[in-house]
Amino acid sequence: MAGNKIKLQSNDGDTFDVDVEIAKQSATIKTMLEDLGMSEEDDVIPLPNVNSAILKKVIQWATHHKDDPPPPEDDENREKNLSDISSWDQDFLKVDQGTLFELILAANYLDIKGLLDVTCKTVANMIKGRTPEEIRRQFNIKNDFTPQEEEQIKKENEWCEEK
Amino acid sequence: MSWSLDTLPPELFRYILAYLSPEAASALAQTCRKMNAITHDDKIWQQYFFQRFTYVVRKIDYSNEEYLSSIAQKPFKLPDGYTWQDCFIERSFQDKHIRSLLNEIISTRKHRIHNANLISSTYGLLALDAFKHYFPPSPHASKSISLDSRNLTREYYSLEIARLISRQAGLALLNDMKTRQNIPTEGKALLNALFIIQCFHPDGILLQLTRLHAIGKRLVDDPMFSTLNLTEKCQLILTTMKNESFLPANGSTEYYDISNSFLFSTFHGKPTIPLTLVSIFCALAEECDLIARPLGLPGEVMAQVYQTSASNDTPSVLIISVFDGKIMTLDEINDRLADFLDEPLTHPLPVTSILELISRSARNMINSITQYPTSSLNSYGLYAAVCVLKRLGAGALPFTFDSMMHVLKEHFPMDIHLFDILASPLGTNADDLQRIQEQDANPPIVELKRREDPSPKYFIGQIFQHLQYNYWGVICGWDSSCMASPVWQIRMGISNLTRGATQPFYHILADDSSRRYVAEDNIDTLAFTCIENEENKLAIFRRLCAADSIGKQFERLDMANAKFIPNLELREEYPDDFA
Repeated sequence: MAGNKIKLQSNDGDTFDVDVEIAKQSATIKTMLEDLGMSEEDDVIPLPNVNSAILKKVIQWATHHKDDPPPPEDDENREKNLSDISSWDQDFLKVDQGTLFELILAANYLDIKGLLDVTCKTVANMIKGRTPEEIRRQFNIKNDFTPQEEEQIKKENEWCEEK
Repeated sequence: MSWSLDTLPPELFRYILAYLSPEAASALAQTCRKMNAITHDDKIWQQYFFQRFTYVVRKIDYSNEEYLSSIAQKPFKLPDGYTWQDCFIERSFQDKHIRSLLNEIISTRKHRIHNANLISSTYGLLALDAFKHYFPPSPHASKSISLDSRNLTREYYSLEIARLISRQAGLALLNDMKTRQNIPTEGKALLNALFIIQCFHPDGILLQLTRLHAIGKRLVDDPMFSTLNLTEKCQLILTTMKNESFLPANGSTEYYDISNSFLFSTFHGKPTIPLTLVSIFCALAEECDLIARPLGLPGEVMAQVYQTSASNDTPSVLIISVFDGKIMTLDEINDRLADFLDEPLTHPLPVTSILELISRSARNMINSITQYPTSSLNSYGLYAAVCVLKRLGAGALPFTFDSMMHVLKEHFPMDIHLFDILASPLGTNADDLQRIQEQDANPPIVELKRREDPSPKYFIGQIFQHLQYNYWGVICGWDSSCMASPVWQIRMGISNLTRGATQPFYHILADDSSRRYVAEDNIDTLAFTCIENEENKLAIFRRLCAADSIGKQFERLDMANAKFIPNLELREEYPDDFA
């Protein structure tokens, strides 16, 4: 079945030909193909929640990762390791924030665990080790606390100091 | 529409939160109102709590339902009005306090004993979470940390205090057991009782018994298991025990080894004695829904097993010598023991109480100590035996008060509650305790060792090889001439050395953890530089870093210069050595 292709359509009308095996990294697409009995030859799978630019990036990621072993079971009780992002993924994710978040949404909608993990880790790395002010600047967040509220919140979070 | 951090759907935001440390989540909370609200998600804080903290209670009470080692880690329900975030923050503050006390303990002798006991009494097992990152790395650690980045003094004290906490947990459990009326004897009861003794082992309460859950589950989940009769089930458990390396000790050296009385060695594959094997057998039998109880017979502890079927006839019982791997009926055991029993055994079989068995274990330890006086576990074994026999009122100890106190105070100087356990025949405990507490509050000034002409050739921290006996060691102190007793000098043949007793002598720590006194003539510091193989050099470094109590005097290893860097206390005592 090597070389079997499927057509994926973005919400702005662009169609992409993708190997079935690569497309099946998306559990959503896999379900559509297997459970809903969509034939692999002629049908076009519409993806109303993903635009063309993002879909292109997702396909690029999935293509590079097609031979990856399935991701391991999540162990909730282990502090997550944020430093194991491959250099290819790091380069791949050197994009503006808007794109990064759209990739998170797409990975979630398409249910591609590996992509969801690596994009969320990237965002987490942008937050880690930063002061609140630095985080605000990074993500363009407006400080809407009153001075009293800000004092109060700071006090609540005192436990963090000098780790 | 452009997405940003604060416009993400909540479930995706939670996904990202799971990747943040609690500290990062806290920083995020302080950015704006919306972030503050979202990061108050208590489910995430529950996750953070269990990622960071393993121990959830200060002390554990005796139980026969659960493995004692896992009770301290059981998931628990929050009290009303308390969130996981509250819980987490409270623990973080406690953690910080514990660590600041540890720092005080490390940096000064003043109040050291007081602070150590303060940590144990205030926080108990919770302190183990604060210390776990400071322990020496285990030899099988997957990620190996570089030797010269290790803080050896911090490793030493965190381990010593953890052991103190573990011993106090063992004592508390002994007290708890003593006050209970009827301690059941089936299932996990015996294993838990032996676990109390394990608390006194250097590895202490950290030993996990839950491996037995997994083994039991595997047996029971096999659909074939329920089709077996009682004998076949017992046989399967015996075979499983062998496969899991719970084996009988062979030969008298192995049999009388004191490590047999500690669960640690058994769970690490060392063959052991009947009492321990029976305890594991009974626990596994319980996992498989059988009723198994210990049966103390002349010469050996065995197991008696019943099936839990609701049958009206007299239940059939099997008697199992776990040590020999033999399953016997009542008749067969009576035949076997005909010469040793006054009367044949009949239904119902006597059940040896848990208190009797744990005392038996203590007496085993005393035997081992007497037979093999040089084993490194002996001081721990003595401590355990003393606590068990004294607390359970189970008979006199064969050693004098003075000799026991001497050993215990030397190895466990911070355990002031020893005075509660061992009553001095002369009634001097209160005075001794007071003296210790006074010295702790006002440590005597240490005499400085200054270098005078002619100065000793070698310095504190240098790594050397003994010229005659070839072992490796590190120099911990020196005297400008031999200060040992004449008896020692004669025994060691000091007068045979070229310079005899009038040369500098060095206090050293050898790579087998022994402390010795070596003449300058026997010290070779160049040997290390002559080693060509890097692996061999590393092996010597590793062995020395693993020596017990290296951290008591040295803070770090300086690999480049092949020496250990003394900590504050040692530097103060030898000011000229650290110029």
